[in-house]
Amino acid sequence: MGDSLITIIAIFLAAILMFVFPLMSLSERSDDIAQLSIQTATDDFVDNVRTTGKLTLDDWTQFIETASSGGIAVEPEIQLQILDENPGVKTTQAEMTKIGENVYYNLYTSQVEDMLSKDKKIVLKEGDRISVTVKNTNKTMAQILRNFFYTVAGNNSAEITAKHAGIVTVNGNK
Amino acid sequence: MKLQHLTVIFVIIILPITFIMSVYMQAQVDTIVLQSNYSAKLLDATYDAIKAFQLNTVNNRYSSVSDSKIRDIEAAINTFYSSLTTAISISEDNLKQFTPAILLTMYDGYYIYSRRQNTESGQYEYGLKPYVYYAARYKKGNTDCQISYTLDNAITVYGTVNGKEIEPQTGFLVDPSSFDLDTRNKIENGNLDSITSIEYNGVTIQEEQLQETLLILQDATQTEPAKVVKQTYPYTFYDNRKVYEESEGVYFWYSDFRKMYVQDEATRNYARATMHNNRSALEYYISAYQFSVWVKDNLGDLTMHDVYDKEGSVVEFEANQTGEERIFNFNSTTNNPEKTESTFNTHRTAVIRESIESNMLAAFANYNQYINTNYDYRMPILSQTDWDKITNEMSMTTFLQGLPIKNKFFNSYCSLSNNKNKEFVSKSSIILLGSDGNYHKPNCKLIVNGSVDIVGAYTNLSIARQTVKVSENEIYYFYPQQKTNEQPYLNCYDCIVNIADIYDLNQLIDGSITQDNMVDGTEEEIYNENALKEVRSVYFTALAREKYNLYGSKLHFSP
Repeated sequence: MGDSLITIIAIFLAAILMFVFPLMSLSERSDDIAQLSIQTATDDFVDNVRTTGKLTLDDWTQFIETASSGGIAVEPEIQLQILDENPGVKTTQAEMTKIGENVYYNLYTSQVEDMLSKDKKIVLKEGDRISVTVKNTNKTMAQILRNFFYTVAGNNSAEITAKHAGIVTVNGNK
Repeated sequence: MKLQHLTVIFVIIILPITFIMSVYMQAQVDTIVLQSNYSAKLLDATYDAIKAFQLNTVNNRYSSVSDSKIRDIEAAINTFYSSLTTAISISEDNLKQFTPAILLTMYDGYYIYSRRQNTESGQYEYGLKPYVYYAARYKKGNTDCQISYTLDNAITVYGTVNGKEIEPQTGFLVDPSSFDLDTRNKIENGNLDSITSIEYNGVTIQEEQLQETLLILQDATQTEPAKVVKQTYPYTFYDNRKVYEESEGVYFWYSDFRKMYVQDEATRNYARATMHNNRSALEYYISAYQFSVWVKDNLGDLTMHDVYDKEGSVVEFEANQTGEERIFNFNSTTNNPEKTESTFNTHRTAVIRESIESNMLAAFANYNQYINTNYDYRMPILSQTDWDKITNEMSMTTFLQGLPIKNKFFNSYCSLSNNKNKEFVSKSSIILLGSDGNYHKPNCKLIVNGSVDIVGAYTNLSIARQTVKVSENEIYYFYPQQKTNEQPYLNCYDCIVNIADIYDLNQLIDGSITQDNMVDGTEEEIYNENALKEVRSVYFTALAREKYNLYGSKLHFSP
């Protein structure tokens, strides 16, 4: 009886040691790689828009494809902050384009996508800002395993997130 | 006990330990990742702020006016906060408490942006503290004066010198013994107008002709519609303003992208005399010679031990000490103020560093009192590289502290220099226009070895694109320096894009470029003063002219 119990425990432990741990470790590393590749894609995309002043439908589609190329479904969110010609309330002297002083108005993902599907590109100017956040929408293997074993992560917590933002440094119309 | 039993017990003991260790290691890894992530965001936000400052000042033709300058600085700080809030998703008000101070170094002083008490309302709020000059008080014998330093070799002397109360004296410092004898005699005899060429420190400074391209908005008239014209005009400087020549005897200022014709007789006379033979560089060296001789004669004995603080006790410099060496006793070997390693320059950086350190320490100490938090804000130790940036270039240093990251607090800073501005002409801001259609650094190998001829030398602002916005849909651009085919000069691949094929700029300034011998490792000279004479002459002429044109009106020397 004692031997049988020990054998069962040994089999159980062996299963954990030989399958679950390596699987968890492998899936964690796979998430790390996906995280790195999505962060790189996000940085490249944002920096490209910042240095050219243009956001095209092609670039946006290609970015989504690159970000989700690792088999992970992602949901990119983009926010464009357009430098308005109206100065902020604290300003005493009006100037048409003062970066950091004038107010900004925001364009969010759905608005940006609407504009892109209509005009194929959005032209930005010096001082506008772009911010992109990417999150995974499906659960990765590491998340499933972790939820199963520790039940730590909540349902909404995304495992893979990448964010990059910055100021546009050139006018895109020339 | 059987072996299987022992194995199971071993695994049961080891498994939780391994698990806890792996969780702990993962937490450490996450902390480091978060830390590097925040450092990158801080760098990005500071870069954005510098970029905003550059774009605002390049397009702001009033940026040297104090009010306008403060607006540009505040706008840059706003950009910093909005970039950082967008990047790390914390509201601006919450984020501000983690930024105990922002340091902005200008040409002759610095601002600290921090939490301070508004004396009118009594409320604590974030804002710019009063401007602090890079100054030190010197006491020796019957001299008790204050000397204000700048990021380059210009100083201002106030107070009592040799028992005599003086008017504030401002000027550039050079080594008077490096001037040729003929120039020295002419200056000392007052024959300033007869000087058309100066031999100084192995270079020849001469008159020159300057020109730049402008984009002129011509308003609509009864017969012609409004139009935009791009044209290149010769120019000279009068009273720190550029005066352009439309045709012989017709001069104008460039204001609001339009021509404003000069009627004033003094300006016209000056323009007529200097339009095709600009003397700014010569004026710079003449005034610098006169001022330096006076400083050497009157303050030549001062050493770092003569610096006193407000309370009247001797200041102990912790870095860049110059010992018993006399700060203003100029000579061509160890104390030429234009050289980086000179006693004057070492002392200048020591004074700037001491002033910034003491005020920043006070700002951090006050911040702890003004803000209700358990975190103890302290000024971090800045690296020597960052101090070099702060004391030699206009810069912005941002501090981010107390932000919780897992089980630790984030504590870091970022220091970036702003090398494209209208406030300061630094040694590295001079660019040379090459016959190959590219612009180069003066220490570019192609320039030094003579492969490319030099067709002009200006500051890096002159190759920055200027924007003229007439209306929302009508935006024009122009480059003040452009090629004859109206195309802009491009970056030299070797020295601007790659930054690989360059020599040390300080060696070029000093007139001797050396290189390590591959065989025995010794340093050998590859270009001597004679071989570098042409490029150094162009470089020093441009540097002197740009400095003189920027600060000329502020110079005051009448002993």
